[in-house]
Amino acid sequence: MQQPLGKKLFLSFDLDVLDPKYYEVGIYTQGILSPEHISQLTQKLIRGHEIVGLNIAGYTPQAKEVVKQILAPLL
Amino acid sequence: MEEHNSSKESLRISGYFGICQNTEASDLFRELGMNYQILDSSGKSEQEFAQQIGEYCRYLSKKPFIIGFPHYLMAYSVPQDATVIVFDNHSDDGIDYKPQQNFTSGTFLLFTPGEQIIVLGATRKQYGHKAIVLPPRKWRMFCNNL
Repeated sequence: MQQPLGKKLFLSFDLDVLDPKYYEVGIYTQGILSPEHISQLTQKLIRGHEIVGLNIAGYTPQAKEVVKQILAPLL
Repeated sequence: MEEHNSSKESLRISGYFGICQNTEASDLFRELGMNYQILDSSGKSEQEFAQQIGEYCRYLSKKPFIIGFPHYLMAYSVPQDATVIVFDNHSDDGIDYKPQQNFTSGTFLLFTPGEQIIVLGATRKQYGHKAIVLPPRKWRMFCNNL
């Protein structure tokens, strides 16, 4: 099922993948990930690829520090 | 529209340019040392606004870093030759939310160019050949195989 990724990647993060103990998005059901887990997955995903764009959905100013953690491998 | 210039320049983030819908993301962009642009959606449908974001992205000489828009508004912002990877707890986000429109958050994948779209953490909706949808239990396996 898995195909090789293209050289260029566009990454979109909806913050509802986070466990609500790290950040509460609001009305949506949320995932189970920590910012560190997302950061680790991202680090693996981007290895050998060019990042051509980023998107963060579900952002509020309260998520600022969490977003910085998630983006750490990209900065 | 007015471009906002950050007072400090971060070398680590210098390849990106911020785009947001309101001032909520301004602090983050400033702390990252990024210039940014606030786009106004007033008077536009969601699809028209998505197209506006896309047109703006194509004019940028830097990579777009888009914050504060629903992620499906990225449909027109992604380069044709890019693979899209979406971290989202709901692959079918709002698919019936606005049934009178043909452009919903659930259908953004169909508008998005590119050979392959991977939704990590998706739970229900599949999108045919456009997307590979991975439930959370398969994330780690997917990443380990890269």
